[in-house]
Amino acid sequence: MRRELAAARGAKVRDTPRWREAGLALLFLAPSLVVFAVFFYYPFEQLIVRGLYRNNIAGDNLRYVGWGQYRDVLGGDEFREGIGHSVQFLLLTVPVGLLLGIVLAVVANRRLRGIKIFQTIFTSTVATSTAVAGFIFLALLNPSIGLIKEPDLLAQPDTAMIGVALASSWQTLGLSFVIVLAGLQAIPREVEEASMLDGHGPLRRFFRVTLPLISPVLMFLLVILVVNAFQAFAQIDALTKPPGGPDQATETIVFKIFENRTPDRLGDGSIMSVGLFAVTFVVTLAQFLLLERRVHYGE
Amino acid sequence: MASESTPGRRLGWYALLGALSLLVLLPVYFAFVRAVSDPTTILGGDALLVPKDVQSDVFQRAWRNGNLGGAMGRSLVVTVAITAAQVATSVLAAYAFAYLWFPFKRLVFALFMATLLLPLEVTVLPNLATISNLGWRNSFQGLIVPFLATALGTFLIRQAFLGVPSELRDAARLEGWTHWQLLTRLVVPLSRPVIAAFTLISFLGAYNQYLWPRIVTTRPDEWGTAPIAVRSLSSNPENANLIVAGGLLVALPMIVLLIFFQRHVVRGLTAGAVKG
Amino acid sequence: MASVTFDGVTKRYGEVTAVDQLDLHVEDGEFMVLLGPSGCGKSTALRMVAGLEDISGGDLSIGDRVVNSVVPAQRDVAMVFQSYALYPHMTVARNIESPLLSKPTRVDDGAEGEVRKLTKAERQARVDEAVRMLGLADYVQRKPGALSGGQRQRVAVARAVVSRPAVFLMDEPLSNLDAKLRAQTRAELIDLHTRLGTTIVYVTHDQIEAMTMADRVAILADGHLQQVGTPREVYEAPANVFVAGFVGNPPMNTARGPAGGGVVQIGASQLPVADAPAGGEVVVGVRPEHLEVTADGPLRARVHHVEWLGHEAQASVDLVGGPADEVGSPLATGASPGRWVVRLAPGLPAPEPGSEIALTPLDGQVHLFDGATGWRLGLDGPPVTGPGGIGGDGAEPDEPVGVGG
Repeated sequence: MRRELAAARGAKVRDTPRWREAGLALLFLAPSLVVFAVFFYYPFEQLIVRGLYRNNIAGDNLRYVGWGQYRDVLGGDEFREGIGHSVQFLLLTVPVGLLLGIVLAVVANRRLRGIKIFQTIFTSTVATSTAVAGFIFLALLNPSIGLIKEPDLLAQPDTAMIGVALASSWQTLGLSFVIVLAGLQAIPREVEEASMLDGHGPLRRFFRVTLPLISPVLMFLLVILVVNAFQAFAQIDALTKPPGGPDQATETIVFKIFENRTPDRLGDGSIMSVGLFAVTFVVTLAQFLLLERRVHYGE
Repeated sequence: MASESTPGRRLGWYALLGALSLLVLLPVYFAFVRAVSDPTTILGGDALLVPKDVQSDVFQRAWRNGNLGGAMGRSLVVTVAITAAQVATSVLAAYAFAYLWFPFKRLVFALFMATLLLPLEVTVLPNLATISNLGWRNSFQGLIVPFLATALGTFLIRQAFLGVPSELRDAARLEGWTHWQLLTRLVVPLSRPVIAAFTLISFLGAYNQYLWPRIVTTRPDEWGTAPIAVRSLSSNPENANLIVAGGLLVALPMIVLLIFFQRHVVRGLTAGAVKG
Repeated sequence: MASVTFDGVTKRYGEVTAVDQLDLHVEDGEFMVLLGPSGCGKSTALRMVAGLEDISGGDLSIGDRVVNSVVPAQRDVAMVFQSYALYPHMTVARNIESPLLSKPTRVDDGAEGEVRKLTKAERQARVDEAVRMLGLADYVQRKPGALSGGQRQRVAVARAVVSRPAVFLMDEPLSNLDAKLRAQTRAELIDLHTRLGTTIVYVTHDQIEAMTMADRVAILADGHLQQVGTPREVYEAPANVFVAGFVGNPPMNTARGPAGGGVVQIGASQLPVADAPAGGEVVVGVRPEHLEVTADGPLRARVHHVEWLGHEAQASVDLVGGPADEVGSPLATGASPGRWVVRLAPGLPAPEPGSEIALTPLDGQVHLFDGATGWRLGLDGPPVTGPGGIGGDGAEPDEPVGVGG
């Protein structure tokens, strides 16, 4: 009797025993987990392993070379160049993306008749895929039929990246806009009204009140833009001729990986993929750690 | 608010909005001009601001040459299937993360999120091998199955689920609701905006896929999806306008969809992830 | 300090009129409460004073200045929002300092009426003063997220006080507090008003707040002004059936019936009323505390149940003769048709539920209202009462009619 009472006193109220719940959780997670296991983690493991082998161009001489290959490739020129171009691309597209998102969202976040039309226009660029955006910018940048023929952006190694970044920024501005707009609309109206009554001019209000209050959203957007930048491929493929740009000036890391898919280069390609994962992971983690502190999370 | 009221200021805002809209739409406009004009006149010459030597049948030609109708039909099937599956799997996974107890929850969540860090382009070769071995090249399964789940949906919808007031769930528990009932009759209806927003995002992503369909199909005329059909329209500059016309045609359904659902996307994202 | 004057102020949202031709004058230094049920337009009226809503018609003046198109920051007002609207990312100190950073403020020791941006030292002094006044010294470095509801409310008030505006605007500032805190904060706000003497326009739906805090109360319903007067005037001489039923807890008992021959027929009873009109339908109103249980009174009623409240007891009774129906007009009291509440004299035994009793209204405490319009007999709109009301001549409200002999 005493034991039962003691047990009763210490027991938590539960509808179902813990392990039943975990079982249900497993059931709910299973579809996603299976897909991830087969189409992400298995390939990932394959990549890691493949990086330990070399093959020849005919693909019939697979031999083990060990972790040394990792050191060679990740320290090698090709990987560094790829990451370098990706970082270039990142620096061209991410700040622009943030800025555009903020500007468009601030301008479009007001109560005017027909504002929804403008909001839809600003969002519409997400409806185009990166490839189609590439096609569209072909119309603008292609040396033979484009609009901006002088300077010929895509033909010069120095400016080719700018052309690609332009197309990419245009395509993502819809996403940036929508995300920042959602953040702005989450600010309680009364806080903005209090700011008006306090006499804050629009500039002060923006920097002292609005910006801090959308900082979580901006961080979310930043992470998305950075990850997107590292994964850029389709727009380069679509815009540059030869693909990869003049002097391979626009060959970002994914591009390099893609180039290394023949059997004799697959080992290198796989290693670079793993390297890309590591870089993206570290950068995202760093973003969270560094910026988390500066971001304000309401109450 | 009151400050918007003076007609002068209102006009100013409209002007600014109009200017920005023009900038945003400019590329599309020029693409349209290019698509519709005779390419040979452009080749030699100068930048065109308005269509010249209009080839009004360019859209029909693009449609016919690329068999865009068939391709878009296939795209539709694939897109709907992928979207439906992604919403379903994400909702289930989100429920598990939000409301169910299981060990190593954080680790599993990290495993989910990690899948967002590698682009498709990178995992494409092993995946191709897998699909090949299953004999699924040139099939609907091959185009759909790898995308049945996504961690992005899980993330967004989990945020929304976490925002449901706990009192509602407590009341339901008191009445003895099962988890399935909680999911279908309480939590999902209350998270409609976010789920709708994600559905749209998923739809757009699936429709606009290029790399995977390109690699998985060896017979593009039979199995190509819309973006592929457009690419195959031509490769020389004389017919570049066909590609651009095709691209515009293919993007059209998405734009229409967006016009109708843009409001939901904004509302959905407000209610969901962006709250941090 | 300044007065606030509504001159025919109207606010329309498309087809809907939220505030209709409001004429109201708030005296310099007065504590004016805008009272009414949700949707009556009181918050809208307040926001128009703040400049957060445009004015569709009429003129709004603060002091001598018509401010219809003046930007909120230039109106010399401060507002306490219902949700407090504190900046979540700033400390209490920065929140309170906020109005002083951008707005020119009336200077303490400067020339008469000098208004300029304050120096850092002056700002600090003002903030310290506000902090002291509102008892926030222990919380200055905290952020709103770390404060309780009551503390946040005080920060909101401190922020309003710090710039010493001409008018304080308060939008249901107590509604998010629990009952005990509400009572305490009521007292603190009254105290604040006494000390600072600033004009206050205060919005609430809680009539207890209105009664205890206001110099005068303006009652609104459906965008229309019902009555303006001191709490006492509004309680003792309600201008129409709506006010009668809104002010006072429990509300005034009302019943309608035909009048004639010096009596009003209420259910099965005939109530002799002095100055009863010769004919037509009237609504009779008597407050629960003005009804006596007598052996032989004109009103017959059956006791439904008795509530004992400690300091007094209340009997809910049904008037004999069926429900004297209160039509669903906004001017009706909303109490159960035909069910009246009687305050029982302490000490006497309470009547049994189910028993029939007789009630006699006290002399002079029977109110008569027009059966069709709901206005007190003799009025056809809000009475012009109170010193200095628009067009007012300081006339005393009509005496309530008395019971006939």
